[in-house]
Amino acid sequence: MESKRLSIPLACTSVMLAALALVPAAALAQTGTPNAVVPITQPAPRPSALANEPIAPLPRTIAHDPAKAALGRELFADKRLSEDQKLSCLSCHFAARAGADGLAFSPGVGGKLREVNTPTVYNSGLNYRLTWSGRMGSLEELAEALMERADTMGSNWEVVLARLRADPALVARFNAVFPGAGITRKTVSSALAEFQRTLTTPNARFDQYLNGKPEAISAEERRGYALFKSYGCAACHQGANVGGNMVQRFGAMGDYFKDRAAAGRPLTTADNGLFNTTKREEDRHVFKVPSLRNVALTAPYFHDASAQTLEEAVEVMFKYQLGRQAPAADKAAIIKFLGTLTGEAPESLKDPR
Amino acid sequence: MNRPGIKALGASAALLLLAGGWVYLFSQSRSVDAERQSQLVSTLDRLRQLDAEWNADTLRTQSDLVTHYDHLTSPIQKFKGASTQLRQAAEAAGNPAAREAIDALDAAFADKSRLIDEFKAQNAILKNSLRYLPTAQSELQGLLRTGGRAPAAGGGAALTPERIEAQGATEAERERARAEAALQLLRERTREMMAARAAVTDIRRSATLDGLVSTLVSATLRYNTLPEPELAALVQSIAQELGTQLAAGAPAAVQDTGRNLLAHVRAVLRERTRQTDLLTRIAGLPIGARLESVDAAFAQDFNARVAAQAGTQRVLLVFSGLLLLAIVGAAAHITHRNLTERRRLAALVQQQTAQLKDSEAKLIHAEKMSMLGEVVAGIAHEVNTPLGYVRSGLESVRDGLDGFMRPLSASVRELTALIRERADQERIKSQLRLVLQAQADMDEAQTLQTASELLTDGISGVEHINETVVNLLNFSRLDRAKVDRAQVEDGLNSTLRLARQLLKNRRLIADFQRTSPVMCDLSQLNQVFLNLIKNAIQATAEQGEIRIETRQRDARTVTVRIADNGRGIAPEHLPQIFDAFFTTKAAGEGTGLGLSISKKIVEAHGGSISVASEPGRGTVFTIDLPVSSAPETLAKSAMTVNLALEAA
Repeated sequence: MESKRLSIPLACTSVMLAALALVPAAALAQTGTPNAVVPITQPAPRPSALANEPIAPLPRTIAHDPAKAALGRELFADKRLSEDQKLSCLSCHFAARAGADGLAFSPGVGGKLREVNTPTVYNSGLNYRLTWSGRMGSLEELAEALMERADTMGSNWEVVLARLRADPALVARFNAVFPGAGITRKTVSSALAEFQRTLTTPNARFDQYLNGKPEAISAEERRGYALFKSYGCAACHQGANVGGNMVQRFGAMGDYFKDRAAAGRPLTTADNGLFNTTKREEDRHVFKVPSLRNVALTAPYFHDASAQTLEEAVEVMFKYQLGRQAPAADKAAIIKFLGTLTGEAPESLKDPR
Repeated sequence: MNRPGIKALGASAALLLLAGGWVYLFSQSRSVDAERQSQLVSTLDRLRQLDAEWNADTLRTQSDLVTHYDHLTSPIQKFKGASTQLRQAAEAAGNPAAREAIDALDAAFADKSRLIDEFKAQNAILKNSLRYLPTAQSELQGLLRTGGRAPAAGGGAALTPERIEAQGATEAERERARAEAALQLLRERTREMMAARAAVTDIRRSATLDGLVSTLVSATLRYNTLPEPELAALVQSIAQELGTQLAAGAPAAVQDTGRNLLAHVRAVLRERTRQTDLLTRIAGLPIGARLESVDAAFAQDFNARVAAQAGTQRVLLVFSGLLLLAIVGAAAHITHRNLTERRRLAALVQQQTAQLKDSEAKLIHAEKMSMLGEVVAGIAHEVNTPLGYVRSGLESVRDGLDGFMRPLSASVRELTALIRERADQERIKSQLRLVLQAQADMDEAQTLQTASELLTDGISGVEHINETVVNLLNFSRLDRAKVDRAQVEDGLNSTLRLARQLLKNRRLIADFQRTSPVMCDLSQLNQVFLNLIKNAIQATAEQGEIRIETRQRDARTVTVRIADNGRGIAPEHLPQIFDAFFTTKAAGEGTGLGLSISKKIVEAHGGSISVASEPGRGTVFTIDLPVSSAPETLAKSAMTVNLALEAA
């Protein structure tokens, strides 16, 4: 047993070394010798053209509990959740703004502006962590936390639960969906999370392309996608959600915050990102890589809402994340490609009345 | 509540307790959930696999076999689910060791998640920097060739890989190019490795910017391939040199791109080193050991439970055995008690039957004595009357003979003396005359004849007495075998003779036909006959008529009918008259047993007795007797009769 236990790291290490031995081929293949003329971006031969794409299409349907989701949908629009009963989730996440609100900073309860831009609720269930800094492990956790966040719902669970429990019809529905539990912090959060998980935007033109319809996107958009990959955007914005599955330092190849401060926007607490949660120095300015799905509809961009347009955002990304320049035409092509990531909006999300 | 109730309650309570104990032991002996354990084991296996796949996916991503990180995020939720399952199992089992092990496992997984997050972030940067190096090189070289003039947008740096990639050579072309490149690269790699060392000494010679850029990029790429410290030092020194040269008055565009290149070179140096470190740390995370300790904690608990269950099962076995033994014992005890009880009851029944028989025999005897008492008067008369005249006759004979014989014998004595004295004839003659005279007187008084007659009468009286005694003997048959063939008429006759005194003036019609002898105890039947005749006498007036018939009803049955023309029996009494102690007579006049005993005796003979009566017209008792009783009936009859006689 002991030897077996020892052998696991040994095996892993040897596998790793073997993998490391393969890396040169890959790395050199990408770059070639200084005089190499053959550009190779993919290290391994691919069985088919789209088999090893960094981006995968969204699933058409999400497995969920319809009754629970329906309950969550109601709660999503329920203003009793906020302290002054004037805000609901829908106040900042609505259909007309692709699951966000189009504002730089949303006013929370009492009109106090939030510290970070409101991300879209669309496809949020596909993110591996939630919030800009990625401090929340699940939509349930997020719902539980936002309820009592002073700049969001500003509420108190006991108060909210008391309000909801005073509604016999709602109590009955909860009892039907959560037999034996009724209205609790867990069930309310669970219903809200279940609803949000259904808010995906499948069948984007780009997904159609990935699913074997090359004509679904234009040649320029295809070029944009190729550039997206070759410039290295896809190093972070990848996966089914084109992001949302990793964290990265904002300013990986340049000090974004220093430059921003120099331009007149000093550092805020929120700018510290994951550091605020972990207090680990290496997590300073580390944020979750946001999903780029529907990105054309969700301006302004970044946690600080500093980019009003995709052009500005792409510019910042090239400068601080990729650490390089690109011709304007390439950036334009990339932006064209980003437009193909807009999917079908879920019908269940409405606009606030 | 009565005692049996309490006893039953106690017994049920004890049984319930025993059954409850058994059920408890049984449930305890099944408490170990092997399925849950196997689920746990499979959950742990799943986690091991998940972890191994996570490692593999990390390496795949690192080597660009996979170009996205979705595979690296999906284990997080899966692990959370599995961990929650394990935690619930630990809570359910009340296993703090497992809980602690799961905490440690969670911590290790959290570390792994964090390290993999770091890996993803730095891998992205490293890959981008590596990707950028040749681009930067060709851009820089292009700029240097054009004298630092930035290329027109979309125009210059025409040979960057992105460009060619994006401009869309056909897939086949690209494939072929890639294959050729790979082949060429493999061939060149060895040469390059050798060249790398030569390059160290060649720095000064390739002092131009162009050369520096080429050397820097290839050294950096080599460092990525073979992250050795000396290569890192080489890269750093070249970078430093390039930085110095750029600062020493290169065109602005060259400076910009050069700074970018240097930034990426530094990024490669930094991230490549960090990547090795991260991957080593990831591989070194004690997930396997943590899983083992969770496994061990559950297994230990499971084994303890299994051992405890085995103990319980042994106890259950012993308990079941004892219970079975107790049940068998109880059954044996009950059986034994039942047998004993049955024997005791049988003995009791026998004893009571004997007592009953005894008292029955006593009753029969009492009845017999009672009847005898009634006939004793008659019998005394029968004996007394002849005794009286026998006595008076004998007295008369004695007196008569006394009056004559005394003087005669005196005269004879005197005469004898005279003769012996040879007295004169005269005296003898006169004495003889006196004797003769006495004899003559005696003859004249017919004394001897009278005496003879009296004696004859006496003899007849004695005979009468004898006859009476014989009759009594006949009635009770004391001189005979108890059960024998006999004529019922004989019994009736001897009974009638005994009852003669009771009959008084009543007319008796004895209509006896010739019947077969009956196997019977005649003395018992006589008792029946006497009882019925006595009843008939009591039921009739002085001038009443009693009719006694015997008939051969059929070959096997003899019927005796005793009828009277007396007052009869009230119909309501008819069903009861054979019941013991039923009597309509005044107290002291009868025992109420006569008829019941009669019935018993007749039935003991295998016969039957019935009655027909009409009030005011008379009563008929009919007795049917089998000629020869069936053996068992006879035996029974003999027994009953014996008992009766023994008691008597």
